Amino acid sequence: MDEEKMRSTARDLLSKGEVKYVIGYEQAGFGQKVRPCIITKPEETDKLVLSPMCKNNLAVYLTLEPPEEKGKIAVIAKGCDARALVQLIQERGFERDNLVILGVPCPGMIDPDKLYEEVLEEDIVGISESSDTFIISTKGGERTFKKADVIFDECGHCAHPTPLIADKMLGEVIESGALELTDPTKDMSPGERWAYWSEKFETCIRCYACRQACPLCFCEECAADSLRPNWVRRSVNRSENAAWHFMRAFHHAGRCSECGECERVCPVGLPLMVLNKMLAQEAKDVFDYTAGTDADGKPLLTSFETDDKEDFIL
Amino acid sequence: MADDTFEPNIVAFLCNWCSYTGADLAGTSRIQYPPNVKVVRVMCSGRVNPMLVVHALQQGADGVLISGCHPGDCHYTQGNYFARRRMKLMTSLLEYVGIDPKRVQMSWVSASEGQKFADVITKVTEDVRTLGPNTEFPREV
Repeated sequence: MDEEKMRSTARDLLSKGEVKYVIGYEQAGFGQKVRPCIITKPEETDKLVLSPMCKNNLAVYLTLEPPEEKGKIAVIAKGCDARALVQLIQERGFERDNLVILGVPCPGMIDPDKLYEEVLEEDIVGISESSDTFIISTKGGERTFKKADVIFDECGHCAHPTPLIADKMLGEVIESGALELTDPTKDMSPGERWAYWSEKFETCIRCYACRQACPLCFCEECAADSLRPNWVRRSVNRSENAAWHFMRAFHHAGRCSECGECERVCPVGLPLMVLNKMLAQEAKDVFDYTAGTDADGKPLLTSFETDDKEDFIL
Repeated sequence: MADDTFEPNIVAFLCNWCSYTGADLAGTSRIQYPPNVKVVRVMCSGRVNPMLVVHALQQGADGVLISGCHPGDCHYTQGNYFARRRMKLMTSLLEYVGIDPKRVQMSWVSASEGQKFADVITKVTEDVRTLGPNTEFPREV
């Protein structure tokens, strides 16, 4: 990942006044951790970092921009973030004309939970990469890890590591090494599946972090907050939690960019991406539709074909 | 009928122009069908938000039926096509988490198909009767 090129591009855009700000990542605390940041001045661009720890999906910050605000915004986008941007553009969540996309081909993001099992968080002083390994420099010397061993599970399934949409591409194209989908409930009977999922749903505390982190949850009023009609009640129990999760998953059917932010931010570790992936797969199998690949296309559920499959209809 | 036979509670969302009229025809034609179904008339099957289905199951319905005009016959020309896509995804989601797909069914019944309406209701009732009561989902009161 080309950090210098990203910085100079951002500096260029800001000094020419082409964009009013750049959304990127900056260093945060020890262990090479990063956090999202907004850079408004060209001299601040040295703060920007780009490393395999930049897991956040920055498209979410675009949806916080008031629609009446004028001026362009530059955003750094990995493969999945770019799919979220495509989906946002498709749904008129954000105007394409107000957007400068700095595309970053992504080798997969490091899962801190996996890495910190091997190295102490505070010892890490630098991360670099070669073709299929990450080289972690620590205070006690260098450690090498195979990429597949330390990246997030969802990054392992990524079908579009290179952004499908970008104004400036900052790096070489990376081919997809998409693995088979892992489904924890594959061999279960319907009863066992319900036991598995209802147990998962019961642990949900309904903090709605999954919603807040999602770049595609940009409704002004969420159906979960609506009182008239009261789609899901606020009580935290099995029935209401399940209804909330059905609603969350369904509202992302044919839209999810599969970045995995919802699962990453979940404080109780629900496997939300399993539901998202299942619906994405269903959209692909049944309607031959992949979300976030065509900015000029129509969203799955606002379009139809007269010969859609109807084998489930009596 | 034996007392211990399970009588399912079925909520049917029927579109005003075809299925509801089809149900009316079944009535005026004196066609018998099981009395387990509670009809909710909607203006179009495209009006049925999949969350209404989830809501019905939460409120204790044992089965849900959505019925609309045949493809191409929608009074609003395309409502049932949208409904078809939505319900396909919602039913596969429910099936995936372990709720039997027979609990949520969909059918096309036109205004002239009184007999088909009776057949559909009989089939759904029998399906849900075999499945037994909806224990997965109801609200804790």
